[in-house]
This record gives sequence, structure tokens and C-alpha cells, in this order.
Amino acid sequence: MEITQDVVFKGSREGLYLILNAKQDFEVIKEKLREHLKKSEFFFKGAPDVILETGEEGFSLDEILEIQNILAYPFGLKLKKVKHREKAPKREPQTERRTVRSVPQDKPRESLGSRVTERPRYTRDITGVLPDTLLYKGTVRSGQRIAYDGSVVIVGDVNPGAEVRATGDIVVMGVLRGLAHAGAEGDTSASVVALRLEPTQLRIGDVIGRPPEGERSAGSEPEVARLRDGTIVVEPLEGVRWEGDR
Amino acid sequence: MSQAIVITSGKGGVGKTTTTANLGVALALGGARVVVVDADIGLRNLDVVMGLENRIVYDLVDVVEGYCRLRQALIKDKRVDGLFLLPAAQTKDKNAVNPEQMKELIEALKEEHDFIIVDCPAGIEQGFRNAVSGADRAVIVTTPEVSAVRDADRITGLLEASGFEKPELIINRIKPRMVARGDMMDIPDIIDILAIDLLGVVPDDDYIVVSTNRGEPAVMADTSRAGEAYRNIARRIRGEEVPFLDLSEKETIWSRLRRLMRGN
Ligand SMILES: Nc1ncnc2c1ncn2[C@@H]1O[C@H](COP(=O)(O)OP(=O)(O)O)[C@@H](O)[C@H]1O
Ligand SMILES: [Mg+2]
Repeated sequence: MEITQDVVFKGSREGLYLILNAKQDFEVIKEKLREHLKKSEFFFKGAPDVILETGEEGFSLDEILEIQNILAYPFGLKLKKVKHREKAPKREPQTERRTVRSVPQDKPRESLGSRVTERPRYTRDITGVLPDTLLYKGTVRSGQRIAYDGSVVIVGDVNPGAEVRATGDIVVMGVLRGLAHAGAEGDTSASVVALRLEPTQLRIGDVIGRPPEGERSAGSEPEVARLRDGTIVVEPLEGVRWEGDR
Repeated sequence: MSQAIVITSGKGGVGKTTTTANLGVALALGGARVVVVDADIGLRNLDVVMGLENRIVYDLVDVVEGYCRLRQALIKDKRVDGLFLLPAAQTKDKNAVNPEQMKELIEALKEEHDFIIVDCPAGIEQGFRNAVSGADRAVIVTTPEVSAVRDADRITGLLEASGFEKPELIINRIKPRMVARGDMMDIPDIIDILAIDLLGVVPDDDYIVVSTNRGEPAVMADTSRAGEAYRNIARRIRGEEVPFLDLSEKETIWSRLRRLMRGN
């Protein structure tokens, strides 16, 4: 399949395919992607997972991170996989710059890496390049949603009506007033840390916790929420002991 | 340099139309050439609030569809020099116009006017997209209620995503007594959540109802507290530094507010 348009979205059972023409100038791609998303914002409600597919050219890690950021904020879409068609064997790779760098060996993300089954001969899953932690700077506002496979650090506030979902930990360097779901795929050791923890609801693993009725958290100090014996327990961050501390 | 300002809110009934009308009149009274545009297609009421309903011949959709020239659709307000209204169509639906057409229209209006104030419909769909396209500056109106602030936050996010770097906030219908008693969200709480610049605070004022029924925006009356607040906001829009009205008996709120506004 030749990629003729620069930005194409396609629904599939697996998720939402985003097909980008990596031969196009990256600035142009970003602009077109933003425009496309803006136009279709209401169409994408429900934040489906996105699978990025590129032509034979591929993107660099930095470029993929930028694409991921555009999708995640403000559109709340989660980049789940990146598919990159390898060049036909007889042709020599000419542009090293534009191909995707491989994963540093220390932390391969196996859980993600093993899911691609379609077109195995032409597809190489390189989801492994996504970093463990997404850093987001700014206010997450009502109606916005950040979902990430890994941990999320927000430098800013999470407002009522906003949602942050991470398979790992969530750290909010600001006021957490909205909904935070850490360990969203079942990691019961995940935690939520915030400079001020005033969430409408907290979820860790599959446990849901709400702040006690009527009581607006008086504490203005940083707090951490974790699971203890199946319930969410909130305590001051200062002096907290983590597993493995001694 | 002319500028187009869109008045948004998310939630309906918080005072967008009242704000558009009053700022339009106040800016024109200050000597500027102003057009107020009703972008609430299908649910027009800016004309009523301005008392110009009976003079409508053509509307915004007529201009966009080429049935008349822009000039023909502009209604001149005879009470205030330099003030015009571009009314919305009552009968057509909001999909009659697209954002590109709206942008062209605003550009054309900017050629001959200093301020274009666009009254945005409630909600976040097509009508909102239309109203914000072409605007240089966005103002968000909220009342001190949790639901209105929530919607204002949603709108702030959408505006930021559409390239408005610094939307500004007007808090409408403040009741100082209720705030003092702690029965109403107070201003620092609201600013704390929305984290945008405050353009002004408008008190709840029965005179607004009177003026709306008469079709004479409150800024035309010297005695209205809300009118005074809108006059101040108009001056701030023009870049003047105007201290905030002291609406409250509780000095501490206001000193805290000033501190917040200085950004520390
Ligand atoms: N500061 C105020 N004091 C008293 N009533 C107000 C004030 N601002 C708006 N209102 C009233 O609230 C209602 C809704 O205002 P409107 O401007 O039509 O809101 P919107 O355009 O956002 O739907 C109107 O009846 C109006 O008279
Ligand atoms: Mg209105």
C-alpha cells in the first residue's frame, strides 16, 4: 500500500489506525494532524487506542513522542502501538536519520510488544521505544483525559471533570481535583501522589475510593494514596515508607 | 488595530448576551467603532437585549449566503454613535455557516470597525466552532456556581486547544453577601481552578432584568452597579488599568484577590 495522504485515520477492531506519511516534512505532518484532530474531536469521544502506522520511512523516537503528545493532549487519545513497515529486503536503507531507533535494552516493554499479529512479515512492532513516564506540563481541564501506558507526571493541576489514567503511578505537581486512576491495568502497588490531594475520585487497580462526604481535605501538604489490604489509604508524603525502604 | 473578541461560556444563561450587549455599548460610548455579532444562529436574542429587534431586515446567514451585502445587514444603533449589530438568523440552523465563512465575515468587519464582539452560543459544538473562528481574543463568562465553573474550564481547554493562548475571565452575578457568608464560590476559588486572567467581576443586579426588558443595556444607566462594572471591563479591554470594584464588605477576599492578580 502506498501512502498517498499525509494524515489518515481508520477505525478497526484493534483500535484507531493513524497512518502518517513519514516522507512528508515533520512540521507539516504535525500541523495536519492537529487540524485533523481538531475537526474530529467529537468523533473521537471515548478515547480509543491509537495505532500509528508509517510507511517504510518511519519516525525517530523524538518524533514519535511529539505525535504521542499531540494525541494525548488535548485530545485524550492514547498511542498504543507503532507499526513501521520494513523496507523490502533487496533495497538498501538510505536514510538512517528517519528510521526508528531501537529500544534501549534495559527496559523492554514486553506486555506491549507482543500484541501485534497483523501482517507479521512487513510489520515490526516498535512500541518498546515509548518511555515509561509521560511528563505533561500544564493544567488538565474538565473534559480532558490523559491516558498512558506507564506512569504520568503532571506539572500543573488536574481540575474537576478531568481524568488521568496510568497503568503505572501518577504524580501531580499541583492540585489533584479530578479523577486519577493509577495501576489501571491491575497494578496494585501503584500510587497517586499530589501536592494537594482533593480528588473527586481515586482509583488504584480496580479499587475505587471517594473522599469522605462533606469533608474537604484540610491538609495542604503533599499526600500519597496507596492500596493497603484492598482499601485506598491516604497519608502525608513526608516520611512515607515505600516498599523496599528500610 | 481592530480586534475581534468572542464571548463564550459553555453553560447557557450565565450572561454572555448581557455581556456582549453591555461591552458593545460601553466600548462605543468610549468612542470606538463597534459591531456586536449574534452568532447564536437559530436562537437569536442579542437584538432583543439591545432593543433593535424591530429593525432587522437581513441577518448573518443572508450575508454569508450572498443574499445581501454586509453593510445592508448591519443595524446602526441610533442611541450610541459607532455601534452596530449584526443579527443572527432566527429560522435557519447553525450548520448554515461554517468556520471559514465566519472568519471571512469577521475579517471584513474588522476593516471598518475597532471592535467586533461575538456573542457565542452555549455548548461546544458547531455553533461554538463558528463563533470562535476569526476571533483574536476570547472572554469566558461564568457565574460563581460549581457547574458553570466546570463548563468554563472545559471551554478554556477547548479555547487553548484552538490556539487562544490567554482566554480571560468575567465572573458574573456575584452576590457579595452570599460570598461573605460563604454560601457562594468566592473569586479566588474560581481563579484558582481556572488559572486564567480575571478581566472583571459583575455583581448580580436587578437592574439587568429591567434593562433587558427595555432593550437598553445597563451601561446606559449611570446608577446600575452592573453597568459600572461593564464600563470598567470595557476600559480594561482597551488596555487601561482599572482597579476592581469593591463589591464586598469583606476586605480580606479582595486583598487576596489582588495578590492573586499580581500573580504571587
Ligand atoms: N449581572 C446580572 N444580574 C442579574 N441578572 C443577570 C445578570 N447577568 C445576566 N442576568 C440575567 O440572566 C439571564 C441570562 O443572561 P444571558 O445574558 O441571556 O445569558 P446567556 O447569553 O449566557 O445565555 C437573563 O435573564 C439576564 O437578565
Ligand atoms: Mg445568549
